[in-house]
Amino acid sequence: MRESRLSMLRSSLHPLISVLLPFSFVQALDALIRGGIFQGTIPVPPPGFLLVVLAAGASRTVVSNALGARRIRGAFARIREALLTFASAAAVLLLLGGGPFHGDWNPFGPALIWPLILCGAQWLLTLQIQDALRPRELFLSLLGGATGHALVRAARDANGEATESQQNLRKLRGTTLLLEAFILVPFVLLVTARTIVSAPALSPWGTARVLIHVLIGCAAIVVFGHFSHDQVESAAGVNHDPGRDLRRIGGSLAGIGGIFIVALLFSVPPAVGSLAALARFFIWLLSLLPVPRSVVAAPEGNLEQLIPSAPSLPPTGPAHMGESDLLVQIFHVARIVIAVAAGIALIYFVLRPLFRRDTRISAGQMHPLRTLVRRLRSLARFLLKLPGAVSRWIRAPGRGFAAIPRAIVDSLRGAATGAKAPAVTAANRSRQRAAQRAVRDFQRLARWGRKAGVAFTAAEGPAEYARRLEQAVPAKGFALQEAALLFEQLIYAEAPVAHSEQAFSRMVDGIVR
Amino acid sequence: MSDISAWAKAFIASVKGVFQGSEEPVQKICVALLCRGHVLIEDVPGVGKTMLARAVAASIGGKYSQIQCTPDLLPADVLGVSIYNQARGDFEFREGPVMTNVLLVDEISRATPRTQSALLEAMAEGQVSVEGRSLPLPDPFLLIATESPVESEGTFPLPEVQKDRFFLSLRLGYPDRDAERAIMLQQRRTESPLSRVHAVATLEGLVEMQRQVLGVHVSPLLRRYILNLVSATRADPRLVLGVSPRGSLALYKGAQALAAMRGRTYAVPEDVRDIVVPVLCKRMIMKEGGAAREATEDAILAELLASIPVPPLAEAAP
Repeated sequence: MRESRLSMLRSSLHPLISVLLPFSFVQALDALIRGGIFQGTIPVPPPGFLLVVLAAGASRTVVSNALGARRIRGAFARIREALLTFASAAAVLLLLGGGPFHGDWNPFGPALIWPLILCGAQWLLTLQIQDALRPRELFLSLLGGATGHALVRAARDANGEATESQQNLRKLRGTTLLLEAFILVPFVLLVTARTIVSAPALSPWGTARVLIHVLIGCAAIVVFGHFSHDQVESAAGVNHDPGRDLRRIGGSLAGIGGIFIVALLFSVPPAVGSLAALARFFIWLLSLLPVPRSVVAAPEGNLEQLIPSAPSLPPTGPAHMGESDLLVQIFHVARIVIAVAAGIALIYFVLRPLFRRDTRISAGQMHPLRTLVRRLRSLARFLLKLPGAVSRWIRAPGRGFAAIPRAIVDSLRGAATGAKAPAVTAANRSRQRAAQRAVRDFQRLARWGRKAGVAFTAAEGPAEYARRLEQAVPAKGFALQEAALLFEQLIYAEAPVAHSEQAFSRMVDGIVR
Repeated sequence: MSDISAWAKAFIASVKGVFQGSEEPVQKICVALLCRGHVLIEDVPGVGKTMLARAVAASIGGKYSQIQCTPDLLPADVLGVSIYNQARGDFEFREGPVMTNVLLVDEISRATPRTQSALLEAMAEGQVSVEGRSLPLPDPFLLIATESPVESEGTFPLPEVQKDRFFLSLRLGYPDRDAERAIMLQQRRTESPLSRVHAVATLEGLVEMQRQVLGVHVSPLLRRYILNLVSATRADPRLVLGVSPRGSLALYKGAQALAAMRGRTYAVPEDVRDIVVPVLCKRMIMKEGGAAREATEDAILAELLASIPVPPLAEAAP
């Protein structure tokens, strides 16, 4: 298997599937529940909310890669990531809903709850699919560079990675089928019920979305089928025939496409729904424009006399701008400015990093939000240290006033350097911890080797020791070579392959078992 | 790095098609070539030194020249000389054999120190200075010098400073019985075995690979290991002179090249250990007498390799 193909699978195809598949499900779920089942009961979400849902899934993929590159694991990282995702999604949805422009800052308005639930569903499903695809990545990374018979041995000796990956792929395929059934059955029931008892039916846009979901879901089933087949062939050491795969996938997709076209011909064209959504978006944009005050003539007589139950209303008539009105206007403009600034900040700090080409953030490069926090912290540290520095300057004899600005600049530089150093150290520390864990695993291997009669000497390299061990225990030969290779990658490579630490640990488990 | 690995395999196979000895010297020459270094082959006559150098030249596909050193060889015979052109009425520079891609300097110790030192600039700077002008040598430039450890009469042993300029030194040794039988069978053919050797890459491709090798990652742990090895030679009581910083640099670059040849983008301890002896053995000066009498440079290096732990695995040993 070629290294370029492996990297394409890891960096493009798997993330794409883990985002698009849940998205298709979530948007179909939205169409079904909001448009078909609870028609009109759930408040209309802000326009473009599906993009926020998509961004929630995309951010999960990006963050997963970033965490993998930095080897950060554990529930805390995921909780923090989920909170950040939901907070930013809520903020963006609030802005999209236009609430802040009218003075409504409530982040949990009824129209925002439903999209937030969808964001949560998208995030969790993406997480699940990523977890299911990880063993496959691990398995594929073990096959890098190996050919022919070596692959058969890899599948046998690689501590069940191939089997686990295969099982997960089957599970994932089952999940996709389940999601299909979950959407399709109520959809069919609704359509049938509509013709018989005129039950609520899906809107045209909802119908189109459900059909798109069906298309993507079926494509996902085909792709997972291709993965399983590919994996079986890889493990058997058979050379892949891309032409055959293309024919098989092409045939399946043509079939699904045919169904889709038939569905389109016998239902409302989705273009109508799309146009309606576009029109709604433009209406929302227009609502943001300042509305001119209507000049209404005051009715004759006292309003309270005309309508006894009416509350006392503000004076109407020709608009005049009193002092309080001016303040209200200023506050209104200030709110709009703050909202726009917040929107720009969110786009810059949260959304922009999501669309970076290189998703693997290197050790020295940080998320802009973290950079901002660190800079603020360094500024606070500088401000805290400033009084002490000034008092020291006062106590020091023979220093002129000209030294004050220089001292401040020096302190600032010191604070800036101090802010940068911990960032690098933190990345190094994380790397060191991973290396220490790998060395501990290697020690386990060395203990096992000693029991097998081959003691490790400190003056030999891991690969040399693996070769000596292979002579003593030929049955574990391939696994030993692979373990040595992974260990060397972990310790000596500039940027080890993602998940190689876990792969090495599992391989050692498999060898010493 | 897969390109370098594929090229190295093709190069070794090409040279091995002619040179029937061990594969190791060919691999080491490949390392020197990738590191822009030069090679000193020290062995008895008739083990295939010249054949190896010519096969290397043919596999690179560049220009090849050979200098047969004798005591009356002058620097001008190596670098080039200006000759008066009667027709044009001025002096015309005729390039010497040094203006080539692969230069075989046969029996270098038979040349006088003056001629030997004429090669110093070519080896270190990639240029030669003739008649007040600096002329760049073709790129890539590989110098393979041979030296015989026997017949020291009438020879001028290379000074330490010049030995240090060679990236690595090799010993070919006698071929095994099968290889010697193959050599005999080769002689049955009328055409030269070299006629079957073809270039495995272009010169531009080779220069690009030399550039890529510099990008191979050497982790801080391995750098520490290299420094530990080099420092140990400086502290060894059996040696008058340990390895110079040029030696540690050569070891670093050699590990990079070996890693690239093995298809990796990072070096591992094995890359360093495999290249230590050819790179360092001629950069040390042994003490005479005492405990050093029985030891050789190779044996001392083997001892050091066996005693200096590979970081970070010291704790894994019992």
